[in-house]
Amino acid sequence: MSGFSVVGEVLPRIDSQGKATGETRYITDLYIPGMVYAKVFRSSQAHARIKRIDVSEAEHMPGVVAVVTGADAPYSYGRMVEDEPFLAREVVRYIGEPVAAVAALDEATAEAALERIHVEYEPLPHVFDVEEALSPKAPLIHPELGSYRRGPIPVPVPGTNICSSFKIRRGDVEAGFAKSDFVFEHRFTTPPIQHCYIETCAAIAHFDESGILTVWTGTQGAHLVQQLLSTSLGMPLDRVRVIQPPYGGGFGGKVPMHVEPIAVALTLKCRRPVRMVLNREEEFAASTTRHASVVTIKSGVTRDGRILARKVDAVLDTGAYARIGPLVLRNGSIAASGPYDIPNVWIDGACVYTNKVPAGALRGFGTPQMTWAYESHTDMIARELGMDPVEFRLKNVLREGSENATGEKVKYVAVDRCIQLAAREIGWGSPKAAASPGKARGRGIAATVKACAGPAQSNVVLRFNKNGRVRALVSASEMGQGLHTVVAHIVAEELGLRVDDIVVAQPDTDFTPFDELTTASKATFHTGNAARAAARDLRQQISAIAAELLNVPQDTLVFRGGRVFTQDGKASIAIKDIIGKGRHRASNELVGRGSFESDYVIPLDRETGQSAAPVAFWMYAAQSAEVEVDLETGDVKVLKVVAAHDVGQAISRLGCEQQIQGGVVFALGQSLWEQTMIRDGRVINPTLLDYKILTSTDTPEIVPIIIEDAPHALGPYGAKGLGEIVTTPTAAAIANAVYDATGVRIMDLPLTPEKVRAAIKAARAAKEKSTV
Amino acid sequence: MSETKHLADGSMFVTLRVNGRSYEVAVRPNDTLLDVLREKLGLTGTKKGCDLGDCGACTVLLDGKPVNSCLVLAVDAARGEVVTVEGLAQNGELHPLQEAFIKYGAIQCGYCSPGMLMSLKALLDREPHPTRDQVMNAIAGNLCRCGGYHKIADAALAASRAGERGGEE
Repeated sequence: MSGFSVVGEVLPRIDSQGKATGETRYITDLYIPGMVYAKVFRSSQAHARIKRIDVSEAEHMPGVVAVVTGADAPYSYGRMVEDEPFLAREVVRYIGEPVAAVAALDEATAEAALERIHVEYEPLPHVFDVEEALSPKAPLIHPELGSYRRGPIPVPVPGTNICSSFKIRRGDVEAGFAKSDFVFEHRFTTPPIQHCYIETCAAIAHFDESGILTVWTGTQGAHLVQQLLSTSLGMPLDRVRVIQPPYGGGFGGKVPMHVEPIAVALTLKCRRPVRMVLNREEEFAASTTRHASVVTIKSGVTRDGRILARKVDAVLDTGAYARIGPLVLRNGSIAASGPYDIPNVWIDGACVYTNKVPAGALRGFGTPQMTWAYESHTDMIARELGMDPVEFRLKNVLREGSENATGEKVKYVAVDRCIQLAAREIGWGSPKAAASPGKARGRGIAATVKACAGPAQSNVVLRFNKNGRVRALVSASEMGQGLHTVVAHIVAEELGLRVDDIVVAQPDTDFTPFDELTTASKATFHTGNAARAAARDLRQQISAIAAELLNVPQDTLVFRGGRVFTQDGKASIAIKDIIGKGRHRASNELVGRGSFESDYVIPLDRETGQSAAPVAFWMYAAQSAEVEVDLETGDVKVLKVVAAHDVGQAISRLGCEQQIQGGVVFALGQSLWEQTMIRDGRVINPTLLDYKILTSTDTPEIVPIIIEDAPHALGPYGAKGLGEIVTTPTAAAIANAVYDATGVRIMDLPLTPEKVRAAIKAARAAKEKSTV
Repeated sequence: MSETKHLADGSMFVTLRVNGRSYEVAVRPNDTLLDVLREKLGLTGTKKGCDLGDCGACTVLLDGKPVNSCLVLAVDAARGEVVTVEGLAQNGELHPLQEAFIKYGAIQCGYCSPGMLMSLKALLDREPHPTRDQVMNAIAGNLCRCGGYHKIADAALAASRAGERGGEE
């Protein structure tokens, strides 16, 4: 019915066999002869001047191969703002910042050597609270901000702690408020949270005798790491080779270089392969978090429920270094007014330095924080107006041809359908089952929109060999999200092969073509398009030979079941038998090449944030939830989540289901419990015991709904992206359900039992007081 | 203190029984079973996620029971029978759990999969026809950040049905 042979089918992932048998070699499974082991000496101070570092004792320990400090590796890096040193020089800016590193014959020796490193600090004034950091009296974390090298995205405000700012000005927001019957304003916050991929960050670096620096790393961007190292070290690109073996999960946390600079600094000194792996505590205390946020949102609405104006003030706490924060700010803020058609929008965003562990991308690029705010706010308005929250949303939602906050006329939008289906499947409007004694049930819904910003370029090379199999050279990263399987579906679709006939190689900057990094749910769209183009290139070449062999015109050939057929189906030839035939009889393979770039993106106007084509594409979704709240303990038990996602077109349907179910599980943890607790700049819950993520027994029923009503004209077969947006509406849907159950509104995540219990008690006390 | 002394301090030879084979290895008293499996025996299928017993990625069977191999000293495992993910397939045939993990999409990044498989093997060995709740309880100590618990449970239940059919044939 779909007209596709494998696109949209439920087929096993091509990477699952090796993972099921334990044969897949992950980055932490690698061993390179001569390899030594690195450990990092980290700052105990949140903000301090380094007065003295003494590593001589450590250097002389038996088994120690090299010790480095910032003086040995005076390099800085940063894709957005070049503000981060390989190892601290002169100043430390957060507790956990690398100050020195040791390479030794084994990990235990490296660890022991850390105890022999002595550092004297002179404390500097610090700032931990993001709103305090905005005060003119706050200590400056980067006084040199204005002089740092930076890319096109950040808009820093030198002389302040504002690492980057962002704004949208559409219509006249004050006039919109004046015309409104009601104006509502609320403030929402979210804490820092952790990626918690199960394999921690790891890299091996080797600067060899020929002057080539090879880095094996579990990164989301092999070409990005190559670029950053080349720039920082002043080495030509072709002298830096980055190889990305399989790794266990990324979620945005393997975009920053947590381990590569350390391993590189050490190998430059000792010229041996150096392995650097973060332990779990380092992951929590010294890698990257999701930005904590403070979002104030104000809306003007008419009595009959039209939103006329919305003003958003978003502050993201980016910690001590920019990392990808300015892009998180921009991509989150651009959609901070939600998937709604609002004529007057004013958005101010600030990404602000504090003396804490840095923040970066975490499955959502700022959109989870914004959606938490606007979808809680939207629900509160509906309740105040006495309108049904679903009806209120549908009245304002973006539809085909509406203008969004950037002034773009939107196309391929099915968010209304997402809301309708999510509401229907949760039983919106129908009676709920009775709650257990002492408990109350409620339902909630939330809608969301997320950008895949672009412009970005992806390239794919396909090598078709004599066995009839295709090896795809792809630099986009398979981190568990299923990209390799998506590429295999696309290539198989175009060439009439089986998905299992496609092998996808691991990224290696020496061999796999450019693709900067895999984030923002961009890969199915960008890399998928490149794979399709490469397959079509191959198809053309195969057609030329087949037409010659079958003696028919090229454009009449049909690719099916590993064979090329004449139009009437009477004659055919196996594709694999075409290799080495016709004009290419001396060859053992055919090579196809494909490229795709979202070059139609028009940069936002700096002053107004307006653009006719602001992003590569948008994604839309809605989720609904039913919860049962224990009125005594405040415990929120999620009974069911419905996740309706506008994917354009499913490529790997199994992959879509995995992403939706898994993304909801991911987001439920953040809704209910997860928070990196930081006291006086120090992470105090740095283990998976103290920082609880969702387990199997905490997981409710999850119903994925895959919506394919609005295929994207530029996506491969109409596909958009999916992975990130799944995590963005869940928290608000849960909080809205908690309100529905109890009448209490929690405005700061997570929805811990303590908070819910306190709010229920306070509401009861207020009620008793008013009735006395 | 010289390096050799430090490294050799307390090392001893023990015989480990892993996946039906015996290995004589020199281990230090504080070496974990996990590190010895991965570094001395080259069995890297068993994964290290936290080294603290919190994540379950390193789950192996010790005398049929699932254990966090990061919390078991290698010397203590010497008297027992250890089974790792590499020991699941028999004579080139995947274990029904492995087949089902592939077919039902129980695998995403795959880093938790070996531990999941071992916890579930322990369950199916003791309870061939578990309920969904029993499956979820059996993997409650195995964290999956890709969030694949439902598909993992689907796969385990399918594997248990496959076992049932196999028995009838």
